[in-house]
Amino acid sequence: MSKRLPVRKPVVSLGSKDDTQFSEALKLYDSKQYKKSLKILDTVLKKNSQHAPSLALKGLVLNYCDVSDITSMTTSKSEAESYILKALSKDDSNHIVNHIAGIYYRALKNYKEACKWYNASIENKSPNKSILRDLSSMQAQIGDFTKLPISRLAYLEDQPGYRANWTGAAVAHHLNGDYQAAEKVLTRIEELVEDKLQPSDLTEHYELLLYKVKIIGDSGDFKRAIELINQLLESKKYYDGLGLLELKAHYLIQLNELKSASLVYRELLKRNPDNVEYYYKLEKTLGISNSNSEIRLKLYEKLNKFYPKSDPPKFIPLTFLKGEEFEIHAQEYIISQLSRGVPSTFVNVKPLYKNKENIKTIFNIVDEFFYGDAKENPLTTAWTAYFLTQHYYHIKDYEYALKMCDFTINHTPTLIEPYIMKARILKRQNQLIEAAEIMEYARKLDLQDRFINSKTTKYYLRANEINKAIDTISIFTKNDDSPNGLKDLHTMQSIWFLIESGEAYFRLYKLANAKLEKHISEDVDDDDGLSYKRFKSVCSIFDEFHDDQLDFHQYCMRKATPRAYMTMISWGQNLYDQGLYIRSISGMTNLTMSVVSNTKIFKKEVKSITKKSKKDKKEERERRDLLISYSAGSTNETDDIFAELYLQKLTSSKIKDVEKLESLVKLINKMDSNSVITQILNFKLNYYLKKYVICYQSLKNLNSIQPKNSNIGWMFLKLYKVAKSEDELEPIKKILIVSLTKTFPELMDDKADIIDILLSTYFTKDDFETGRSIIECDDDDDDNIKLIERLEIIQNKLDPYRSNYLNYYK
Amino acid sequence: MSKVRIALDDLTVNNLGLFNLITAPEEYPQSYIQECKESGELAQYIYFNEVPVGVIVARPIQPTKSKSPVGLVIELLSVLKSYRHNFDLENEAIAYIEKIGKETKHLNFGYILIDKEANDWLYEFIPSRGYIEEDLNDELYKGLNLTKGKENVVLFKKDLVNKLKAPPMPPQSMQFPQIST
Repeated sequence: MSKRLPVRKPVVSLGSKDDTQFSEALKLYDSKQYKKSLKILDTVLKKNSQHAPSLALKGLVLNYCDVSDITSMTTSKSEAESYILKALSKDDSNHIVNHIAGIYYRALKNYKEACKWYNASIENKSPNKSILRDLSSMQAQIGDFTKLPISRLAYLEDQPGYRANWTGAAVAHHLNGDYQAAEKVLTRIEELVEDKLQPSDLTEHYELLLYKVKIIGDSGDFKRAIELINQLLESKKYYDGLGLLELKAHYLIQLNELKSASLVYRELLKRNPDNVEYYYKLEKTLGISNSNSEIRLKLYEKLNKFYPKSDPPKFIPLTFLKGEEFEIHAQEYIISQLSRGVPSTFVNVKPLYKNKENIKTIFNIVDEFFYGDAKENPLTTAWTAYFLTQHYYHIKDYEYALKMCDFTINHTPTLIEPYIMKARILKRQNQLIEAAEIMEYARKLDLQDRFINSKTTKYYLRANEINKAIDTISIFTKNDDSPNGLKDLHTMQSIWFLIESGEAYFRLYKLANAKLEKHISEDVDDDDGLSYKRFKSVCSIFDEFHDDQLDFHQYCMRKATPRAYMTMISWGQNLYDQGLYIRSISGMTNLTMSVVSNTKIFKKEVKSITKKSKKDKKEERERRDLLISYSAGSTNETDDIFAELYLQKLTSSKIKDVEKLESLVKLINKMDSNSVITQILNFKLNYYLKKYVICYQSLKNLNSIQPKNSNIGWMFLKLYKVAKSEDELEPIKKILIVSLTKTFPELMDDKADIIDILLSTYFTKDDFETGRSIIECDDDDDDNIKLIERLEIIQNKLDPYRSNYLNYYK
Repeated sequence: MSKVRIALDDLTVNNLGLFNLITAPEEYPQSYIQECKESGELAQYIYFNEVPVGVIVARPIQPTKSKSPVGLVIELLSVLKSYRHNFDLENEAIAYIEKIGKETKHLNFGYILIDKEANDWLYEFIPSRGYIEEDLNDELYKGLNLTKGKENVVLFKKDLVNKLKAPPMPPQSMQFPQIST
C-alpha cells in the first residue's frame, strides 16, 4: 500500500510562502524524512495556525513518525487524528486536505472514512486522477458496489490506454449487477485491441473472453453464452479449456439440453476421470439419477472399463446398490484396496456407513478377509486389522477397537497410524493424558512428520497440557530469539493452534473456578486472560484476511484474473461465517459471560493474598518469567500479556455493562445476521444486558431459521421466567407475554407443562448440543429434576469424552 | 499375493526411534543406535512395501595385529516376527552388506555373528549363502570381543572374492518362495 501522495501535478499554487513551505514539507514526507517535514510544518503552523493542508499533513506525518525519534517534541502518534480533524474543520472543501485525510484513514484501515474523503477530494475537483484508483479500491473493500462503477469509469476515462482499467470497469459493473454494461465494456476493448494483439497478450485476452462468457451466463442469457463458448472452441481462442467446458455443461443443463450436456460431461471425464462431480452430473444429464440401480450400475460398469484406474466408477455404485449386489461390489472394492495396502481404505468406505445395513456387510467382508487371505501378506494383515480398529471405533465399540489396535501395534510396531488410532480411542474414553502420551510415542518414531507433531500438540492441548503442547509444536516453528514458537505461531496465523489453546485455557479457568468455589484450592492463574487473548488473536487474523483483499482490487485487474477476483470477493463476503471464526467468538462469549457474571472479584482477592504470602521472591520471579515465555503471543506484545486490562474492564463496577460488551458485540456483528449462532450469541449478550425485547427478537429469528433447534428451549425458558418475574417492569413483561404467546402458543398455554413440552419438542436428540442447551436452562424450579434426568440420559449416551466436556458448561 | 517391494535405507536422525521397536525384546542403548546412524551405509533399515520392518548393522572387522580390516561383520540382523524368513528380507539385506564390503570397501571377507539359539533359522540358512562356521578361538579374532559376552554366538565367514567352495544348497524348508521384487 502506498502511503505517498501520488502527485502528478503541483498540488498547490505556490503563490504564498506558506504554500511553498507546505510543498517542501510534502516532498520531505514523500521521501520519508518525517522529522524534517515536521519541522517545516511546525514553522508554517507557528505563523499561520489556520493553514489546513499543513495541519492535515502534520497529522499524516505524525502517524508515520517513530515516536522515539521525536521524544523531545510534545506531539505523538496518538495526536495525529486531532490534526486531521482540525484541518477538516478548518477547510473540508480543500481537495488536498481531503486527499490527506483519505490517505490517513486508509493507513488506519478505516476504509469507510478513507472512501469518504477520497470521494470528497474528487468532488472538490482534485486534478490528481489517481485518487480515483484508490477510491475504487476503498469502495470494493467496503463492498460499496453501487458507487464502484462511477470511480472505475472515471479512472478509465483518464487512463484508457491500459486494458486493466477496462477490466476494472467491467468487473465493477458485474459486481453492481449491471451485466449488460459489463459486457459492453469488454466488447468495446476487444474491438479496440483486435488487430493489435501480440502473442504475449493472448493469455489476458482469452481470460477476458472467458470472463465475458461468465457475465453473459450470470445475466441469465445461457443461449448466447453457449454460442460464444462454441465460437471460442471453434476458433481455439482459449487457454482454460476445462473452465470453458464446465461452463458450457452448466449452461446446457440450465437450458435443459441434457443430451448435449451429457456429451460435454463425457468430454470432461476424459480430461479428469477422478472428478466425482462429473459422474453425478453425467447421471443427471442422462436422466438416470433416479432410475433403478440396474441401469445406473450398467453406466458405471462401462465407465469403469474406460477408466479402470479411477476410483469414482468403482465407489459410486456402492452408494446405491443393496443386498447381495452391494456385497459383491463392496467386496471387490474393499479387498482390492486392502490387498494393495491402502491405509485410507476405511476412510474411503466411511460414507457408506450412513446406511446401517451396509455396516454389517462391510464388517463381514473385512472380518472374513482378516482370518483368511489377508494372512498371505503380513502388511495386508496389519492394514486389515487397522481397518477393523476404525470400524469398531466408528460403531463406538471402544473396547474391541482397543484390542484390535493393540493387535496391529504388536504385529507391525513401526506403523504410525495404529498409534494415532489408539490415541483417538483413548481420547473418546476421556483418558486424555494417556492419549497424548501415545501420540508423543508415535511422534518419536518419525520426528520429521509434521502431521503427527501437530496431532501430538493438539492432544496435549485437549489434555490441558499447554506448555508441553507449545514445546512440541516449537520443534517445527521459527524460534529465533524467542524461548518457543508461540510468536511464530501468531505470525504464521496458525488458527487451529490458537483456538485449541484458547479453549484449553478456558477449561483450566473453569476447573480453577470450580476449585475456588469448593475451597479446594487457592491457586489462581491467568487462564481467563490468556484464553481471551488467544481467541482475540484469531479474530485479528480474520481481520487480516479481510484486509489482505485490498491489494487484489488493482492487482487482479492488472494480471487479468477477474474470475479469480470474483471468487475472492464472494469468499470475503462470507469470511466471518467460517467455522473457526464462529468457534472463536463462541469461546470468547462464553468466557466473557462467565467472567462478568460470577466469581471474578472473589478470584482477584484470593490472588492478591496468595501473592503477598510468597516469600521466595526469586522463585516467584522465575515462575513468572516461565509463565510469560509460554504466554506472550503476538510480536509486539510487551505488556498486558495476560489481558489483565480487559479483565479489569469486565469486572469493574464503574464501567457500564454495555461498554463492557462493546468489543464483543462488534465482533459478533461481522457475522451473518441470519445465522443460527448469531441469534444465540446475541441472545446471551442481550440477556446479560437485560434487553429482553431484543432477546425475544433473536429467539424469534432462531425459531424461523431452525424451528426444532435445541437452543430455542433454554432461550424460551429464560424469557418466560422474566415475563413471570415479579422484579421486572410491567411494560416489558407485557410485551414479552404477548410476543411469546404469538410465537409459542403451545408453551404459553396456562395448562401446559412447559418442561414436558420443551423435552418433547427441543430436547429430543441425544447429542452434545442438546446437552449444552439443557445446561443453559439453569432451571432451579421443581421441574429441574426432569431436566437433570434428561441431561443424565444424554451424558450416558455420549462417549465419555463428550459427556465429560459438558461439565465445563455447567 | 501382490508384488512385494524390498528396499534398504539409512538410519537418520529422525527415525532412530524405530530401532528398538524392530529389535525388541532386545534393547540397545541410544549411544549404540547413534553410532549405527553415523556408520552410514553399514547400518540400514529394511523396508517391506515402504514400511520399515527390519534392521541390519555391520562394521569392519580388524584383528588387533593387523593395520587394515579383513572384512565386514554383520553384528545385527533383526526383522519383525511377522515378516521374518518368508519374504527374502534377510537374504536381500545380507547381499547388500556383501556388496558394500566387496565393491565399496574392497574387502575380501564377509562375516556374520549369529546367536545359535535365538536365531536358529539364520544359523541353518547362512551356509546356503556360502558362509562357513569359524572358530572364535582363532588367533585372528582374539581380543575383538565379537561375542560381547554371549554364550551361543557363532561366527560365520564368507570369501567374497574367490569362490573356493561351491555353497551347499539350503534345505528345502529354507528355500524362499518365488517373489518378484
